[in-house]
Amino acid sequence: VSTTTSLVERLRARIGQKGSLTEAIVEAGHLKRFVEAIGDPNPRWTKEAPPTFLVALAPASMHLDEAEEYGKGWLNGGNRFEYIEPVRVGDRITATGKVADVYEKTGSSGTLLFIIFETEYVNQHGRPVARLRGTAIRR
Amino acid sequence: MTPKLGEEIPELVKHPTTRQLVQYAGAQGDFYEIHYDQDFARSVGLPGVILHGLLKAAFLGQLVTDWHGDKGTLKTAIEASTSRGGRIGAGAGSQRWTAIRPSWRSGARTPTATRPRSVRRRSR
Repeated sequence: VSTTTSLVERLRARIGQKGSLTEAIVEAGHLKRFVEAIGDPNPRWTKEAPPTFLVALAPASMHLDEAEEYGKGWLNGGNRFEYIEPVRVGDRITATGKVADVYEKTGSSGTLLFIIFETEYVNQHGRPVARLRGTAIRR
Repeated sequence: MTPKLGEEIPELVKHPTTRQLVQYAGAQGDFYEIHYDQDFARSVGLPGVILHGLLKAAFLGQLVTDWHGDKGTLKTAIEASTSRGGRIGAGAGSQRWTAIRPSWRSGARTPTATRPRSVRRRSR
């Protein structure tokens, strides 16, 4: 069994593991800095969060020590957002993440490690506002 | 607004710079060095600094919300990076993204699902 194989096995043991709960308030100043950074001048975003703002409130991935041992660096392999309810200034959002899947795949640029993270965002009324499924790649 | 299948979403052109990447790093809280440190980016096998995948996702969000305005609600958004996408080359002035083949649920009165399936980058 190669080192890489056992490393992937150790990471696969993390599937289903939940991250710590993150709670954050949607602040007008933070929202303003975020929309300036993405360069979206839509006046709607003074009171409402643009589609991807939630990732600025809570990390979209979890820190896994073992993953750092694989390859040299991270790449973002894509994000799928599902929206249920708008997020507005003043909302208190609670995010919970989990490791949804871990696998290795060999492509044209060699073998890569894929870690799928899922995050659910719930507002102060206990209602889910969005879900995110993100793919992190180690290579 | 009743969207037609095959209808094109107006193009959104962005001109990201390393300055914007630093600004975005601060606003999102993602300070991974591949987004602002050329030497670090090259040391992990990248040709140079690259955009945050989630910044590209924000551009796609703008593309769709600009288009539907207050006549629709975004239900699903997907950003899938490609190995060629989103690199800022030395001296490159601008990059252009075009969402192609958007789709939504057939028969829906409003665009309940807008899904830019792929993003094409063109250098200018």
